[in-house]
Amino acid sequence: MPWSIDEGRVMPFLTADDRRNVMAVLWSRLQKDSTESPEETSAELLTAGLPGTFARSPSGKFKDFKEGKDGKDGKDGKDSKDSKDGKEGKDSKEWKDLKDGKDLKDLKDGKEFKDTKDYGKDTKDTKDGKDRWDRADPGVGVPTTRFPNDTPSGSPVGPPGAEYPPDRRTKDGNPADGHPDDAEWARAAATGRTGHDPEDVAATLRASRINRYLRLSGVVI
Amino acid sequence: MTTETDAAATASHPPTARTTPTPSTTPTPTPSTTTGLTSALTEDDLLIVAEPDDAVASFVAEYLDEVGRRAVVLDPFHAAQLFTVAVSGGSALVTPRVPMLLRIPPPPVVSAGARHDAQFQYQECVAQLWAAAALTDLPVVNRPSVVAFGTAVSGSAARTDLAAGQPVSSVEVFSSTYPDPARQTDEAWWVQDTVTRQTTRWPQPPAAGGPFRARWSAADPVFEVVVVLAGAAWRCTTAEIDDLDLPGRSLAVVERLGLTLAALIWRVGDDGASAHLVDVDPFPGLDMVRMTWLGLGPHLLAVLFPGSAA
Repeated sequence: MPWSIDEGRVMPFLTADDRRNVMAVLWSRLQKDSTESPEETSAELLTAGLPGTFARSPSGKFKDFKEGKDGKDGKDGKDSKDSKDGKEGKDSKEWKDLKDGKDLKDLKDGKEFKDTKDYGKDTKDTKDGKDRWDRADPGVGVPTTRFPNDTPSGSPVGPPGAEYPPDRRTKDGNPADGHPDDAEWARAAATGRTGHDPEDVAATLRASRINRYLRLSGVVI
Repeated sequence: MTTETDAAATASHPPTARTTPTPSTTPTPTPSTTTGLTSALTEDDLLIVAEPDDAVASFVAEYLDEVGRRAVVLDPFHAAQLFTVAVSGGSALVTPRVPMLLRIPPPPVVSAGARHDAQFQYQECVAQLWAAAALTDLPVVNRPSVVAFGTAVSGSAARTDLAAGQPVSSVEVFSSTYPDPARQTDEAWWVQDTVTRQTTRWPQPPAAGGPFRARWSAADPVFEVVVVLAGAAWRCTTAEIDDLDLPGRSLAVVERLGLTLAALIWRVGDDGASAHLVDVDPFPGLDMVRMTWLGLGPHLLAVLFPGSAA
C-alpha cells in the first residue's frame, strides 16, 4: 500500500535554519554535556577538521560543529581568524589559501600555460637540471595509470592547467619557497637522495605535501 | 512502495542548493528558483549530496560547469525530498533520473540529551536518500549497499582492515578512560580522543577527556595516500615504492568495501619494504582530490556519464 511522508507534520519540528544545520543542533547538545574547556578550540583542533580527515573524523565537519563553527558563534569565528592570521605559521596560510580557493583559481585560469614564455622557461629549467627536482617533487600527484603529462593541450576535458598540479608550478626553480620541508627536499635532491634509495623512502614520504597535510591533522592510527 | 514528497512544503522551505550555471546565458539561480532547477534534473546533470560548505562538492560542480554540464549541490535533507521511489512488479523506478555523487559523512554519535526531532528527521531523510541512491539505475559514486548506507567502512580501523581483507597491523583499544599500553608491539602507543580526533603519544594524554581509541604505530610514521575511483588509482607522492603495489592493493580494498571513491592511507615502513592500511576515507578532502585531479577529474566524468564522449 502506498505511503507518504507528510512534510507538513515533519517540518515544524525544526526551523528552516535548524534543518540546514541539524548536525550543529545535535552537537550543541553534546557540547553542553561536555566537560571540554574553551582552550580546546585551539588552532591544532581547527586543523584536525580540514578536508581529508573525514574518515578519522566523520568529520572534520562534526568536530567543527562541536566547536561551534557553524557560523552562529562569533567566538569561534575569532578562533578561525586567529588561525588564518598566521599563528600557525606558513601552513596556516596554506590552508587559508586552500579555503579561499586561490589555488583552485590558479588551477583554472591556466594563464601560465597559455604563455609561451612559460613553456620556454619550463624547457630551460629542464635543461638546467631543475626538472629532476620537479619530477621528484613528492607533493605532485602522479597517476599510476600513466596519463600523458607532456601533452601540451592536456586532457580534452580537464580544466586548463589541471595537467600540472599547482604546487609544481609554484615551486619551479624555487625550492626555498618558504616551506621548510621543501628546503629539506631540495637538500635531499642536491645530494642525490631523492627517494630512489630504499633507505630514503621514508625521508621522501616525510617531506611530501600529503604527509605534511596528514601531520597537521594528527597521526593517523 | 511509493514514496512521495509534498512539493508545496518543499517550496515553502527553499533548499540550500548551489547550482552551477548552465552553459547558456541562464543567470545563476537564486534560492527561489532552485526548486524548479532541481526538479528538472536529467541524466546529463549531476546531483552532489553534501553539506553546503563542502569544498570538494564546489570543486566538482565548477569542474562540471567548465565541461558544459550542470551540477546541483544539495544537503541530505533536500536531496531526499527531491526523489520519488516507486517499486512495481519487482522493479524500482527512481525519479528524477540523475547521476549522484554522495559525500555524506556518518551522523554524529547522539547522546541521550540530543533532540529526538532532529535525529528523527535526519534518519528519515537518510532512509529516503538511501533508497533512491541504491535503486537508481544511473551511476552513483559510493552507492549505498543493502547492508549499510556507508558501505563496510567502520570507525574501527581494525574492523575495516578485516572487512577489507587486510592483516590487522596493531591491536586497537577503545576505552572510556585513558588507556595505558599493554604488550609493546611497535615504537609508540598513540591515543586518540574520539570526540576531538586529537591524537597524542602515550603517556601524554589528549586535552579532552575521551572516550579514547588507541593503537601502536611508529614514533614518526610516514604515509602514502592512494585515491581510488572506479577501477583506477592514483598515488599522492612519487616516492619509489612501486614494489609495494599500493594502487593495486588499494583497488582490491575498495572493491571489498563496496566503495566507488575513497582515499586510502597506508603507513609505509621506514625501509619502504612494507605498508599497512591505516585508514579508508570515502570522502577525500580537497587536498587529496586536487593532488590526483589530473586523472581523477576525467575519470569521474567517464564514470558519471558513461554514454558521452568525455
